[in-house]
Amino acid sequence: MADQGETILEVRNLAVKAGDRLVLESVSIDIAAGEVVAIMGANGSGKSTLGFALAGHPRYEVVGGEARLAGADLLAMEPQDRARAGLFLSFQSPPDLPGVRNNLFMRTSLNSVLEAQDREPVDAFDFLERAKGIAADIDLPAAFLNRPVNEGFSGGERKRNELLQLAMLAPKLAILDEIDSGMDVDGIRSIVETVGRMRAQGTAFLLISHSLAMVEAMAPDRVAELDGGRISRIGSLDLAREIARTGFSRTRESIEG
Amino acid sequence: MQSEAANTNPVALQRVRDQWIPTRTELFRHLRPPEADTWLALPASTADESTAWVAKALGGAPGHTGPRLVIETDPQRLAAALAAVPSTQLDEYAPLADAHAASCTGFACLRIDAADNGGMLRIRRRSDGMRDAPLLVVEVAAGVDFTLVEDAGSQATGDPASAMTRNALTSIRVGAGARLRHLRIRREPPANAIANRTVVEVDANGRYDELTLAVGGEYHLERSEIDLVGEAARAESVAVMLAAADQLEQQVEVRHSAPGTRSRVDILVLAANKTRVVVNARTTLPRNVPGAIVDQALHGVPTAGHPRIVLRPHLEILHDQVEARHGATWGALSEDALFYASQRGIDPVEARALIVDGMASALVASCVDDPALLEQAGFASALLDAIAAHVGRKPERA
Repeated sequence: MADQGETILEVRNLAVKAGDRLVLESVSIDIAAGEVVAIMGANGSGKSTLGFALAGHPRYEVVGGEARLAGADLLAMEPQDRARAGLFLSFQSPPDLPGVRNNLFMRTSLNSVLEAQDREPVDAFDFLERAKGIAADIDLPAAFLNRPVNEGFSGGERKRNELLQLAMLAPKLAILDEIDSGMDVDGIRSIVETVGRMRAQGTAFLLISHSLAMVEAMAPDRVAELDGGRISRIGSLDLAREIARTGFSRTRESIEG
Repeated sequence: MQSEAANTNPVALQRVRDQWIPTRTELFRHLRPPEADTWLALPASTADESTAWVAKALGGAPGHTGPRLVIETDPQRLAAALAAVPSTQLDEYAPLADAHAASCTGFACLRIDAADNGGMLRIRRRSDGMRDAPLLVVEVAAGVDFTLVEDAGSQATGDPASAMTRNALTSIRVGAGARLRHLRIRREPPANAIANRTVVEVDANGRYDELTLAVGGEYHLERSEIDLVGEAARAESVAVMLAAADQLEQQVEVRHSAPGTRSRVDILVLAANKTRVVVNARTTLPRNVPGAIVDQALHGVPTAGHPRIVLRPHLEILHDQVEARHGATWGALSEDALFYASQRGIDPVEARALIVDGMASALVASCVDDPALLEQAGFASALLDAIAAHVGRKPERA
């Protein structure tokens, strides 16, 4: 696990296209171990694009800039290698994997990451013990471990399943894309507690959310506003409160002005 | 009824050649079988019919050896057995059936009675020749629940992987209130030409569940003709077809000949490279059979390259009181699902294998939802190995 204060993510002038559209023009941001940075922005401002681009989704083309994860060139890596290097993306809409058992999927994932770190893979028995413990912590019934990944899950159950994988993989950097959407109050509490525990162990977080309550609950070190394909403002929790009070449109007008 | 056994009768052989499948037939429109001599001219097996069949009981009561396989080579009995095979749904397949009859020299008969209830039997066919035309006749007595595993592939029997042709026929009668799970593991070496025909009749309240894994062969045809002859009879035909360097066809003909009958055909095709795969599913509901329920679903998934997948669902409904669903879907593996797995650190080949295995396993469980039985039958491991080979992954047991 990274030392507190060590820079985990360094993004410089990142430019990203989705199809023919330049969604991110020039994004620069640093996140240190144990830090939480909240990204806010209007719909379509490129928050999810930033997450997908950093994770290496083939639909998003990086056309400029650089990104490093714990000093390594993130953009030179394949998506699976970014994950093995310690980048975790919690999906806004996690897809179904029909017929693929959750426990098999997660154990394959965990062992891929462990093997990349020259660590011993876990066997099915040890994995199940560990998974059941984490599932209990986040109020996800153990029966979900034996169900196909996300198939028939409610919105909140999908997000809890993301949280389960996050806690299992213990990444260096976690990008949480609207992890609170679809979650009930108990789910929100699970997120806050899980993030709190992992943060104390050095995991850095990039939180994407529209909810002031969620942002406040996560007690971010910084809040950044994404607009016009750039980080338009960066500040403390007060910035999130201001955005909640005044909305994004006013901010955009002020930039355009 | 189809042709009588002609064995090596040159007149019969010539008749098969003369009446071979024409260039333009609806049934074989997209994938034509090899010419007649492929099925007739290669050197036949010299093995004794009694040693060509290997049966092993896999379940049932302790000490019970399972149903006995009776071998018949008497020409008259063979002719009678062939003549007794129902041919109402033979259609344009008749030349291949005639080629079988012309080459068949004996048959195995399996009678499953009350003492075998709850049991499982695995049957394998061994051949030392380049041409084989086996006939298996199965009768399941009324009220008996049984699982039959047919492991037909040459690879599975340890036979040399030299090219051979197999034109096989299995005839099954499921008695009233009986249930037969028929697990068919068809793994063929790349150069083989294979035509497996299964003819099934299901009596009142009987149930026939056919689960097929079809892999390999230069030309590989699996054909099932299922007739629900008794009231409230049920049948399912579920298949996973994996094609990476071959031509594969599945034909399923279901006829609802009695009221209140129910059928389901669900076939998943996973094809890669330049393979050609055809699925023909036809379900017929005559005028005088009310209350039938029919479900037909065909799925084609190209896993790599540019395979040609033809899915042909047909329903012929001549009665108003019917509940019917059918459809065909064709689409690549979900890019989002593949990325999701990659984002969790899973290698792309492994991700493909997981997703394909998930799709196939879900389909298999929809027909036989008994993991222990599938494992004991060897079906689960055969499926896992076939998928690993298909996506290029090293086989691994979960």
